[in-house]
Amino acid sequence: MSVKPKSLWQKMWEPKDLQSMAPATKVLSYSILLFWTFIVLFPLYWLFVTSFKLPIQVSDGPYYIPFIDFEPSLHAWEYIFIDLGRDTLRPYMNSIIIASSSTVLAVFIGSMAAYALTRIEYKPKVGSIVGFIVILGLVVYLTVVVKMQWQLTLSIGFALFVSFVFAFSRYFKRSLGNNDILFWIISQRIMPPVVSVLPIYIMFQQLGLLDTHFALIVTYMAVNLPIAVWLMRDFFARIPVELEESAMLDGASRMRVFLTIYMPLAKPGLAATTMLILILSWNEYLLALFLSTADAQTMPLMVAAQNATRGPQWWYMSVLIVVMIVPVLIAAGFIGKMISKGQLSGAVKG
Amino acid sequence: MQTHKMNVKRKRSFGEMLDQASPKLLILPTVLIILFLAIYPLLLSAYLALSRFKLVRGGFELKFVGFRNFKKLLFGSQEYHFLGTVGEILLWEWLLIVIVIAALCRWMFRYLRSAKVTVVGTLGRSVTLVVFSALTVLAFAVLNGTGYPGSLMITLFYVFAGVSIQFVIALGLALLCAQNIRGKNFFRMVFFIPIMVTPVGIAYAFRMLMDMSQGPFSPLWTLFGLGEFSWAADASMARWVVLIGDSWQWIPFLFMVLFAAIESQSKDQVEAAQLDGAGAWRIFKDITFPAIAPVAATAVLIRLIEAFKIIDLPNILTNGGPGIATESMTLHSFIAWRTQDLGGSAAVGYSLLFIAVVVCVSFFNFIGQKTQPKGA
Amino acid sequence: MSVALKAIRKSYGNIEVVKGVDLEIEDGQFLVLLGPSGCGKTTLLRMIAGLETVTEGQVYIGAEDVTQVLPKYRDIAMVFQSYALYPHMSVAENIGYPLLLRKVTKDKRAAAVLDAAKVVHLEDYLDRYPRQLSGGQRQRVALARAMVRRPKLFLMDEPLSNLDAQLRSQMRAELKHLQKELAVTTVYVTHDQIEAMTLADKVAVINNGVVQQLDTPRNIYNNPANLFVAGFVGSPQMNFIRGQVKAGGFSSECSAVQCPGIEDNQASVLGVRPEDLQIVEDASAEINARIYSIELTGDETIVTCSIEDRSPGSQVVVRMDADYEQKVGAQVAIKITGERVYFFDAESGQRLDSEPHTARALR
Repeated sequence: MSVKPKSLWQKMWEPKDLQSMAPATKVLSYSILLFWTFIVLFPLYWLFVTSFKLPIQVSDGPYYIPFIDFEPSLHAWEYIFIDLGRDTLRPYMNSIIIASSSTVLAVFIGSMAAYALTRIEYKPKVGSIVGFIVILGLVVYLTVVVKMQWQLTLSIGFALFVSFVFAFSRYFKRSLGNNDILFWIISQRIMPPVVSVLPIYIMFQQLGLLDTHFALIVTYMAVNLPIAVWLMRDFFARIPVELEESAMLDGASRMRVFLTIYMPLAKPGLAATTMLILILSWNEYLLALFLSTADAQTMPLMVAAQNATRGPQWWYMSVLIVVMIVPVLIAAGFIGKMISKGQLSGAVKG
Repeated sequence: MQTHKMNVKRKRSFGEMLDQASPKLLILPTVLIILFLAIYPLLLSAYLALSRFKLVRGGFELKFVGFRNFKKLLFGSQEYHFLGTVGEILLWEWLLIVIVIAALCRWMFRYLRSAKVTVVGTLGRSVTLVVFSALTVLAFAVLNGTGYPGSLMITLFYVFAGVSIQFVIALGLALLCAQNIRGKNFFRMVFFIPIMVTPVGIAYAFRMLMDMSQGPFSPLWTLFGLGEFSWAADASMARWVVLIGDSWQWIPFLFMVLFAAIESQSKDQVEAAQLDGAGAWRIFKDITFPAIAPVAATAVLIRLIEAFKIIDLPNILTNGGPGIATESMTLHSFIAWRTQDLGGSAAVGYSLLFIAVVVCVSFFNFIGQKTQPKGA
Repeated sequence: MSVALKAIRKSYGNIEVVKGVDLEIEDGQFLVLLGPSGCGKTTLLRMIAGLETVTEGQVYIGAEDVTQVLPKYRDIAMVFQSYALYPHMSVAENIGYPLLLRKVTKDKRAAAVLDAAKVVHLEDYLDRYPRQLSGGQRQRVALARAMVRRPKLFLMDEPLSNLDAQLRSQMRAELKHLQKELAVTTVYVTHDQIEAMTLADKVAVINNGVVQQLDTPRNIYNNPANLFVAGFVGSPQMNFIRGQVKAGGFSSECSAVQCPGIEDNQASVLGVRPEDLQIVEDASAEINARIYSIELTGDETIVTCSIEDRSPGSQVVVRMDADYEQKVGAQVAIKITGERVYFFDAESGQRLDSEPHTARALR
């Protein structure tokens, strides 16, 4: 067999060798990638430019490039940061406090559970779980329908459950495994927040905690916990079990093993998980809409509120959105570096 | 040899006891949080969905009404809002419906004749069969132009159309990026940005961009004679605009996952196929895609789960309008809550939960499992 | 099909990994590229396959210059170290994949797959998936996939290195048999000298991106071209004693022998294999040493002795009979008894003699 001379079509679409790209593929790939870069960046550019426009420049039709098309003005920035001042800063601080503390809590508590589920074998008895569900149903019934005090019903329920477990647990044969627990935790994520937010709203209302940082932090943490468990379990599972065994033989407690061996080794995983949850809680809208009104108002609500009585205030909105993106970008750059570093050291070890 | 006597009772320190209890202590916080903030609310919500909420002096009153809230959604005053307005189904549409349902039945039948029939499997497949058949009929009844879709079909439109479009685009971008190109890291970083922008912000940004007379593309629209066209007043255009905004935000997620999967596939397998004479398309079809399929299935599942919860974009981009044309179920539930109809709100929420569970579990069991490595 | 490499060079940026290699492989020959890891042997193989571009030089398959030809037109089959089986395809699908790409009809394909599977004794496993197979079986699937389409050339990149020792020697024999039966030119990369010695018609010893010696296994062992080849081939390693050559005599701190016909050299090395040495009671022995350790392998005893050399800690290894016994630390005398003693230049590593010296010539 001799190698046939290539046709023009082949020359266009077939690379010279495996390290390079064919001319047509190259042109096509780069144009699509650059086109998508434009699609991604243009809305952000437009927001950025709009934040420097006067209302008249927005309503008069499109102006594209500052200094050439139109004279940029800082009026919107002045309004948001000087005129509104504290009213901007408060939701901004709220968002920072709520997003960061709920993320830290979710990642830490989730990591604990994820570690436990990778390295410790659990065998919850089916019978105990059925008993628990029955008792919980009873508690709900007593609280909501019979209108007993929830403090009372909860403690009765707890006492009932403890005595139930002690009395009957040795008769239960069938038990579930770690994967069932994991599935149960992850499946909570399927639940649309709109289903649970009404009762949570009522719960916090009863406790007098509506419109507080606490309510939002706890709720965000609960909503994001399944993600943390799910992602961290994968990262922990990759850490060789011998490390834990040798540390335990050296006399370390489980908690110490978790804190001094697993957490540092899973740093890239922690970074990725933290980043994802941080983004989710920073941008969260629906739960905040239900649970906060003024004091604990977060940035997404503040942005949404710019659509007020006089129609959408594009320039103010743009400022707020740009200001909201910046910290996430910074965090992403910082955390992204950690992720890639971790992967690199992992690759070197082979 | 001297035998040791084992009757010395060691006193256990507090720390040691703590260590012994650590398996429980490690997992307890997660379990408690989920019990209190997910399971307990879920049960309460079930009760809410079955009752009527009324504000009374100094508080509120809940009256148990059974399935009346659901009845209202399916057959009563809210039917137009939830299911939609049923239009006329043409003959050829009936034919398509029959084909779809026949395919589902055949799938069910083949399972029943296979060797591995179980009670749970049969039950699960029956639920999938019934729900998907019903949804097929409903889809044709409300989406063929003669009827109007309700929040159920609109949500499913966002979920299915959105996730498929996002998956295809993300996969294409990931494949392009995984080639031997310059600026791989630049593209990867830029393509990731949209996921960091708050959906509320995206909604406003797209409202600005899609402004036909003042937006940046208005000269283009005018050129096509669309300068006066208002997409916000057109039901199906409005839905597509919401979908575009949603896709802009979520393609990055699928892109990142798929890109990582493609980059980490075995180079040897690709090279072996190249030596055997496989072209780019065959390598993708026979080697790359099966290799990334398990990761892709997980990513799509996550995306499906999240897609059911869409609210920010339709709420701000179109405020659910025109009419109810872009209203997702979450938004429907929120609107019901705002009008003090807590029972109705919870009922919509529960319906959403039901549909989401059926779709996600079906996907996981019947599609996700197929992508798993063979012969395990 | 014959293969020829002409002045092949390969560099990644500023680092040159292959520095001008010329090789001729005859039709049907089994050539082994042998060298330590990182010597450029795998890069060389991948350049023959077309998986790696050639920075300079030409690759010929048959009479044809294929340097600029894509791998898929070269008609080459390769067996990878990782086997590179497709995990989602059954054994039959894996083996049949190259034929599927060539649009062979289903019936013909099934027949060819069955034939290939029979050759490697896998006909009962056609419906299994790779992950259900043992390492050796996977290896055989990879082999069957390579030979099912009768390529012009087999390339193998350390195909046996993931197997355990016993399986490896078994597969070695099978491989050699198969290659002779199919009579397909084969290039085989390994760092294992036993594989190289047993499999090859010709061995190319490679180091630092340069071919050190290209010869039959016998010649490589008996007549190494330089210090590197002498040291790399043979286990236990060849013993090296540093010293100088003066007026036809080699002397070091622990030994002195005659070496007629070798020019004076300040820094030279005497090389002798362990099997060419004996520990003796004789006072006229060439090397004085102290026993460092004794290892019984079953059919022989490997004795490691330390010698007082200019470089401290130098050792000489001697192969003795299985019944040899001695205490660690005992002072012994070592005599050169075999027929092969080599002299090298310490700096360039080149041989100073053209033929190995016999023991008699040393006295």
